[in-house]
Amino acid sequence: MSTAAPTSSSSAATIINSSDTPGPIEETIVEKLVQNLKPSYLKIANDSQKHAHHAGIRGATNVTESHFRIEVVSNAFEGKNMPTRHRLIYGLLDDELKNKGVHALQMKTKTESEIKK
Amino acid sequence: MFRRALVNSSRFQTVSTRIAPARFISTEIKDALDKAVASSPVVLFMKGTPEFPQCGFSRATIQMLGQQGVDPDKFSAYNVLEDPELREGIKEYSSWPTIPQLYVNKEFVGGCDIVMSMAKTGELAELLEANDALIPEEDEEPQSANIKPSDRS
Repeated sequence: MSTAAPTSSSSAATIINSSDTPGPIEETIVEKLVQNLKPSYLKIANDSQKHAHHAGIRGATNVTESHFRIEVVSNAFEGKNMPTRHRLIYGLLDDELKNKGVHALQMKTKTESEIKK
Repeated sequence: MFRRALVNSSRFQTVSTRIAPARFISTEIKDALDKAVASSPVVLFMKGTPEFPQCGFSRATIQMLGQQGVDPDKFSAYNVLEDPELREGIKEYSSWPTIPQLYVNKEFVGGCDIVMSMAKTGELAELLEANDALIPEEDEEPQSANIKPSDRS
């Protein structure tokens, strides 16, 4: 790999929300992940509509922010295997998962060196 | 059934590092889960049954196990929707807040995303192979894409 030009400045993280008007839970998720993982890239998508009727969340009050898909690139994952990376995120979002009705998180967790490959 | 496993619970020694120490999970449930996890080389905690998964992630995971050629005789599935204690218990047991959850040879492997990404890289096949969990290769034709849990009513 060429090391000639840095592709991005080290300070500016790319953050992509699910829409221009993310809900409060999504905002909290982004805030927590940015604060704790210092990601160089973070993308979050909201898949809640697709799951609004399925059995697992029948009767749930939160059906608009229940299912998220996140892609995180962070060096905080360096040296950690997949379950450990996912647990790290689950840990950060414990309150959202336990108390706020977040039901599913799909995750892609990579380090900066892994995405360069 | 899960409840069947609630017998002979007197092993306190095996403290697994998987278990978050601050959480509350009764020894009775923990023992039952120890047994569930050890009930087959490949164990999936899922929503619904292999024939009728009740959640897209559970469905994707069970299909992937079928595609990989997991031997039905070496596989058990537990439907967490049938038992609230199991549903909550397994989350704490694995320190993993979502379903499905895959165990191979009593080791936690991951949820749907991890299973999918391991399948892509070939790691899943290696893991299943290493634990002798695949249907022995006889002819070229895959026998079936469906796997069923051994009948344990």
